[in-house]
Amino acid sequence: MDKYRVLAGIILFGSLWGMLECMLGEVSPSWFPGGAFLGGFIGLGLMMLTRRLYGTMWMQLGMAIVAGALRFWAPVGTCVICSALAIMAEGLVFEFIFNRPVFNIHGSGPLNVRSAKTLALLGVISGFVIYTVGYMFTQIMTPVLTGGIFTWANFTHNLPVMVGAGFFAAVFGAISVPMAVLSMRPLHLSVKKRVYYRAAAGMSACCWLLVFGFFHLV
Amino acid sequence: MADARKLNLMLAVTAAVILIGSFGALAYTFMPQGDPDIVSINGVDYAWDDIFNDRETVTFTANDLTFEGVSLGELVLDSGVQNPESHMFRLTGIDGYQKDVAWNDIQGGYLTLEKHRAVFPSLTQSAWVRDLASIEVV
Repeated sequence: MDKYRVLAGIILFGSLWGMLECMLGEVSPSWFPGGAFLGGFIGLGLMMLTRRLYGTMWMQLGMAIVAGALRFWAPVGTCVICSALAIMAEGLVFEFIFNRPVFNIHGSGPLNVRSAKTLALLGVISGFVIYTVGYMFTQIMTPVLTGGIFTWANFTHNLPVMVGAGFFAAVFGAISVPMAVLSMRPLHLSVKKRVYYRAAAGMSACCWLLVFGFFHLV
Repeated sequence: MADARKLNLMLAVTAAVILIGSFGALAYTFMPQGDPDIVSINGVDYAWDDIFNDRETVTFTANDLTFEGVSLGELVLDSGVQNPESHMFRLTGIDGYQKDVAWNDIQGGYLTLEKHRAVFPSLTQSAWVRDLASIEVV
């Protein structure tokens, strides 16, 4: 696929992901596992969707970097850097899992992963791993980057909290992965390049303007 | 075909282990590890209601949000900690969440009645502990 189309896709879907993180994070009620929903459903769902559409490895890490960068500008949840780092870590973990040929969901791998049951099981595993590793990553990196204190005693003591929170991400992943993969076909773009780039640029700009307008102007 | 069956079996076993393990961990965090009405500081028990009835509440901002709370540094000194600057303080929530914090941050920190939370304006939220159960000197 044309690398510029992939780049436009990275910016578009990364902006969409970042915007949803900011907006849904703002309205999520305290009883709802919002972080697990955003990681296991929105984040994982969008990454699966784009992997199915574009079939390009490492694109999802790029999306996560864009989403994390946008999230960094929205003061939701009082720990902006934690959320931005978690999103980027989620993208990296996704690549480690889904760059394995056995989990090729684009259609050209040796073992096509197509059945809803297989995808749901894959969703449980990837939802849990992506969210939990993201959580662990922020527990280590946030104090290091912000002048706090990191101790292994704290980290190991907090494992049940991190693993327990991953349960909801696993459940959300079991829904989002089959939905994203089965509802999409690999992208064979028939739209003209000019229309594609204009639409991608316009929608990406809307996401960024919405976040900046909502959190810094209103 | 055999490969697909093997893959499904491997995925099913892994998913089952994850679901059972994470649900177990979640259930563990819901088991209160302390009295939700009391916070223990350096071995001294303080009722949350008493803390906010007996002490001056101040308004402060942390990470661009406004809170009302009671000075944590004063409470720690009240509990009888000697030479606080030479110690670290281990905060533990009722769900087992734990963070170590330095005296400098404790001095600038607050307890809020909302969520029974320790809030540190100088630190990110990952160092804040809600449903605080205890503060130990380490």
